[in-house]
Amino acid sequence: MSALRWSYMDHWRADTPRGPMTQYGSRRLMDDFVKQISAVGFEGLDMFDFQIYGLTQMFGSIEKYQEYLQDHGITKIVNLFRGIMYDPRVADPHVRETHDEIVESTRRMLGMWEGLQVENLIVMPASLYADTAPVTKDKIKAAAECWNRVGEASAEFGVRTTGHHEFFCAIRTEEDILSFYEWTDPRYVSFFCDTAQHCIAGVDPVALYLKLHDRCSGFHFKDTREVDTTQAFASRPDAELMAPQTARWFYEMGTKGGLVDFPRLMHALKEHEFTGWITVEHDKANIGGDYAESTALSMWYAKHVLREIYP
Amino acid sequence: MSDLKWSYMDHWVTDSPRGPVGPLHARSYMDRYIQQLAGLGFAGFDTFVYRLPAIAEMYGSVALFQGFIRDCGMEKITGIFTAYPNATRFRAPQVRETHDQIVADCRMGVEMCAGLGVENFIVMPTTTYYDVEPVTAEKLKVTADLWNRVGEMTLAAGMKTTCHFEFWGAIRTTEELDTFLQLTDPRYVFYFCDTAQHTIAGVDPVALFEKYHDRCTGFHFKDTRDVDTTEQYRTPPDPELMAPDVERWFWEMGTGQGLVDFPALMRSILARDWSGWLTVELDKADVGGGNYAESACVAKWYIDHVLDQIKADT
Amino acid sequence: MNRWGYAVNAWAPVRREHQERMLKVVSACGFGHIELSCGSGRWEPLGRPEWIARNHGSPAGFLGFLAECGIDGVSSFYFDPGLLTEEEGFIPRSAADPGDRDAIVATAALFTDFLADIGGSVVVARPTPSQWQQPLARPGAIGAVARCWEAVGAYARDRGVTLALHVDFLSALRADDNLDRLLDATDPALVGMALDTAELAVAALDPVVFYRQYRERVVHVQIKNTRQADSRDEYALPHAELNLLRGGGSYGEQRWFHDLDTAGGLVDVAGFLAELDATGYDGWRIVESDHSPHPAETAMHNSWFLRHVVGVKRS
Repeated sequence: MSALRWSYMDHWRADTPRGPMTQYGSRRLMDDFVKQISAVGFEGLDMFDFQIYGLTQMFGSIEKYQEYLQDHGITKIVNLFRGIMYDPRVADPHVRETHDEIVESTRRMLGMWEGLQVENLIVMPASLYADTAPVTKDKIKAAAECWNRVGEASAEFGVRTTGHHEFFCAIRTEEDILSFYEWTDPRYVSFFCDTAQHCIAGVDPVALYLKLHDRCSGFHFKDTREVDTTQAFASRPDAELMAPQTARWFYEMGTKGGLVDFPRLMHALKEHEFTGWITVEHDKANIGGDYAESTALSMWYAKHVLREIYP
Repeated sequence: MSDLKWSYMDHWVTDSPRGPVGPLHARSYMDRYIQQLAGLGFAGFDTFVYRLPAIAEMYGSVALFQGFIRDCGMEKITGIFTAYPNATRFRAPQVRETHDQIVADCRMGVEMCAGLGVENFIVMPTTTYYDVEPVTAEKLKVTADLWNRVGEMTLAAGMKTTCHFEFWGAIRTTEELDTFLQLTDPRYVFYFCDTAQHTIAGVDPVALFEKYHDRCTGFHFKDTRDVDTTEQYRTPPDPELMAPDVERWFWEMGTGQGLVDFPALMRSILARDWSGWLTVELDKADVGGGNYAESACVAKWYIDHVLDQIKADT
Repeated sequence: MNRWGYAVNAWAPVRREHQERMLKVVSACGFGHIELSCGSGRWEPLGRPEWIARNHGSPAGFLGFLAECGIDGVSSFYFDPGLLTEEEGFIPRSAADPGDRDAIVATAALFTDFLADIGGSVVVARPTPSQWQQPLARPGAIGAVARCWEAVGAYARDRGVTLALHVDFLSALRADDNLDRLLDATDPALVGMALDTAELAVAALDPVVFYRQYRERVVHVQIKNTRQADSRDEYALPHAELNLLRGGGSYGEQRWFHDLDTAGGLVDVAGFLAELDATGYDGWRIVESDHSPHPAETAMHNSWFLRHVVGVKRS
């Protein structure tokens, strides 16, 4: 029995007679999507928490949706990614006055998912760097306080709150990330390692995992071909989608020219006996590519390279 | 005073219910394609000799196809292109024993376009470099002899045989170009300037046009972002499609980071009172997620907003 | 154990990395073997043994490349002597013309030798041109076709490869009783048949019924689906490749072939596979994605269907 199981973070586009559409566009598109990811060996699915609205419409309830997934070879919805628009006036982790809203809105959202056994609630622990700078110790502490409260609330639902640090997030450097975890309560806040995001930010994801392995509750296994050398992380209007440096930051793991050392990371997981789910992600794979192909290639890599290291 | 008109070289791929297809996939696709080019304002259409039978099958004859494009608002087929990228035992310009077959191929193309006013018979004069090397004076002579023969034949039908030099062909450096053009008969063999191909090969297309403007019968206005500095041109199995270091060699004019100085070339064309067809070429525009329709529009925008402005200011 | 392979003719990879991606997709979908399809020139680098050699050095080099991508081997290679190729001097050939026999045998030998060298087992061939191009009604035509393919089959047998004739829905063998006459005229030990489920369905034939009738001659199977039969026999009209296969004919069919479990599919794929199992068919089962606008998606979808609906075990 393998220590690791593979989940897919549900970024997808399919070409249709009306151009590219997500799997949420129609039941048929959803059927196609689920069959394809099951075909290449995924057993779990991750998604944004707000997808519950569309899925409830499509299937009647989120529980029915999970049953549908199980009928197609997907065991469960593993992790949710918290979808909050950070705005310092309403909801922003470094603004203490907005913490109540963040906690309560999250509690309401998790209540909607209560019937399932979701494992992680993945959060971006701070707002955009461009909106937060300068990133001070106090701002990081405020964010830590926020997520301690959220984590305590999510624990009531059996869900771990876990921090995912985008390269354009205010908490992005190794120093700031380590401070954040020092100031959060390990009972309530875990670390979620997105390999590409850290790499782009100039942080070695393997080294970071080794430092935070006892806090780590999951991964986005994702690759990149570039480190941010142009301060893209601070650029407006959008550091990810409109960076002058590159049109595409993310690639499927194992991509030619990829910078993430997945074999080394896998050795580290084995060394620290990490067990559980690994999430494969390759958002924006349709920029000069396509999701289906990238998804198949990522599982090829998981089977032929990574499983050889840590079965 | 230069009389200049724009034509489009027949490279296109469009999405279909069965994936990307060329316009010769089916009549409705070809019709739409021509309508799109005419809609952009292209007056001339260049195509490949090897596509003429399929065009004839689709429209009844090449003449009927020309009637169709005229109905769509274009003027005529302005050029036809032939090439032998890889040497086979049947056809290889540097092998004299294959010349009769090549001349026969060319005659077929000329006859299919009889009476249509096609102006250029554009040729890639050699196969890929690695099929020819070493490039010797003798091989250049044999190649020149072939195109002299073809050129005399096509000129009798009103078409000028005009040589287009790929960066991955065997005639690519300034020295090789000069030698070859000297070996050919200027009554029968002309020069066709592909701006990107020369640039990639490290040759300045503007300087080359200045030198051979009196033998120049046309252009491929095409850009590139790369000069071949690592001898990709001689790399098997295919230096254009499979170059190790460059996935996409060609870009539409007006592309960011392009290396071709189109304004300088346009000024030179005008200064020399050169008249004729200027051809936009966009081969492999779909590599890496691009698309032909968009590239054609970007190129035409550049014509309308940059090159025509130079014309107006001259 | 059933032998499964995937036909790569729906893809059009050129660069090595695109070839690699295609192969890894096929491997990730659980298929260990591929069927190649003939092509010509630099744009189809996996279409001819000569080009495979230019790209990968040798059959062994190609096998090594496949292995790096998780593919165990090549099951089969499809070729059409009527295809215009620069390697053959752009001369279309027909088995119905006795003067073309030697050239066809020579071309077939190229593909056969490649298969033998690489451990492949079936050379799949288009036996005749399309009906509209060359009907077989004239005396001696079927005989010429038979002699040609027996010669190819004999060469193949000597090299340990099996010949399978692939009848598509445009074929002249679809007309009259041409197929029966050809099979009667050929030695079963030398000439087998490739059964293509969708091509038969478009020709308004039931693949299960067909298989039961010709079981002894079926040595290779290709599996795909279709939603539309050519019930008005438009295959016999002039320029059928242009007007019917690509143009869709009077049916307006933009895409003749579909995923295995496509809605409205004419082929009962599960039923057909059950028939193969019940009769102990031990040849290759090649899944195809022709006409798919997204070959990776179709391969994944077909893989799901085979594993979760039909119950095929993942390799």
